[in-house]
Amino acid sequence: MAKSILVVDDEPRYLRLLEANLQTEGFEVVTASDGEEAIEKFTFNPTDLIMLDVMMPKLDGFSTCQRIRQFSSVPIIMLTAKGEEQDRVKGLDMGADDYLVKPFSIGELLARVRAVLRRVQPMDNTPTRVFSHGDLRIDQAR
Amino acid sequence: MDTKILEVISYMIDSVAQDNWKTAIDDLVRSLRKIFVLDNLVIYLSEKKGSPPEAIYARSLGRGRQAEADAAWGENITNQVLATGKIVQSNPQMTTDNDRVLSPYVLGLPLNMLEARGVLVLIRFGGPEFSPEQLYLAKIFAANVTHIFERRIFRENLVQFESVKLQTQLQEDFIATISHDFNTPLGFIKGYTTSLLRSDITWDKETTQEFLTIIDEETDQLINLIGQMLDSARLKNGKLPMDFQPIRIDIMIRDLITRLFSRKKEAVIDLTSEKIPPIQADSNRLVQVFENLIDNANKYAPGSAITVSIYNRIDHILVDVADKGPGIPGEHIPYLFERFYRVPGQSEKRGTGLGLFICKEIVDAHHGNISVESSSEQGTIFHIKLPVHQPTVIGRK
Repeated sequence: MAKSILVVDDEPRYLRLLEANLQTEGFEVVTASDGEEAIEKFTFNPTDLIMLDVMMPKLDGFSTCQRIRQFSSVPIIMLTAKGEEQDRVKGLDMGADDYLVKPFSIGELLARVRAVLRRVQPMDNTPTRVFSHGDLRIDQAR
Repeated sequence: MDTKILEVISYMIDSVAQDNWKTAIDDLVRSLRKIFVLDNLVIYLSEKKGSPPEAIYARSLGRGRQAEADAAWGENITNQVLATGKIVQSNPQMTTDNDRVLSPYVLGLPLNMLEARGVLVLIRFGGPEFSPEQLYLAKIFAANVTHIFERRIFRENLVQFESVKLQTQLQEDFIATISHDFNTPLGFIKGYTTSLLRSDITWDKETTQEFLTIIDEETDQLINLIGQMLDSARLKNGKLPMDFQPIRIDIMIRDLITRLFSRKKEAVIDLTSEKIPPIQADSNRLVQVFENLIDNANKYAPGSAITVSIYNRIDHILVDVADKGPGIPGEHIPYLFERFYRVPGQSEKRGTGLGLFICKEIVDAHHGNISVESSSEQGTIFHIKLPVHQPTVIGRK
């Protein structure tokens, strides 16, 4: 089954950007434009990964991340406009798994998504179906 | 101990703590006069290092004929006091019974402040000479005067400091905002460009077109942003030249609205106009003003209809730009047209805090006036008043 990703950003153009690119990778994409909507959507329809913008109205990315962590260990990638160390630290402290500083290139974004999903794979109940050795990678699911 | 003197000293001390330095010194002088006979009192102040002392307070307490305090009496002694930093006493060379004014007894006392220097001059025509006791009293008086001026200088510095602090705060906020405002379009340009550059994907024609359009629009956004910043810097320095030509403002606004519709099809903008004469104005600059106001209405009153009304007021034209949005909280209204000012709590809206500042500067350059009314029930309405004719001499300070 295709992996699903919830993308949360208040800028429609970021939602469109991420959606278009993630879909080409075979992900199912759900979008939300603020923290509250994100929590609601995730509660009813949990995804395999969340990409979360930091600067958002209503509920910002940090608080959203913290709230989601109270009931889920879903991998979260924060999208931050600020490259400052304290923001990265704060994001990671709030339970984010990785962060990406805006502006970013799509290549980097997709690589981070793959990396984070790879890292959490062994946590699944299903046995690992990816074998890798050096550059060699065998993914039975593909 | 002489209770009377102690009482006067105590009154003098009470006078010091007043907001207005002049009334404070008036009170001080009133107390002193109860026990100290004198004709003229002058205070000289040299506020900056090296600047010549100026008489900033003079009072004639006249016994009789000398009605007005004559500041000239004290200049000589003031320079002596400033030069030596000590009390200087000068008695007339000869005394005459005929004209007291010709035989002044003058006492000059230094007022030593942290950032300024001053001299207190006491003059008594025709004697008697200042007694040692009066000299002590004069010193106490001078100390109180010094205190009053120190307070005045301190208060002025505090006001200046607060204004610098606010300016710095606004600039810091501005830097934070522009880095966000630059980052947003840059983020889109970077994101959509690298999407198109992906070698593992071939986007269909429609998507390619969509992405390129976004890149194009976001580039425009950056260009606007930079233009606004340059304009605001030039307007601040009065260096933005105005090109006054006769223009029909109703046609200008109608064209602007047509252009805005092509960009934002869902916007609802109503234009009504009375019959109006052409006015002398810089068309490009005025377009900037109205575009900004309409953009603001779109941004801060999303979904609300916007009404632009043009009225003929004989010697001037009045243009109202109104929306039915949530309004602007009253406490922010006085600052709206200040450079870099943004109503707090709107970080999700893109803005520089420059738009309305630019509008005001442009309207001012037209010798017009811009004002705003806003309430949560009525929405926001900007009034722009523009004179039909420009004053014959056109130019900015």
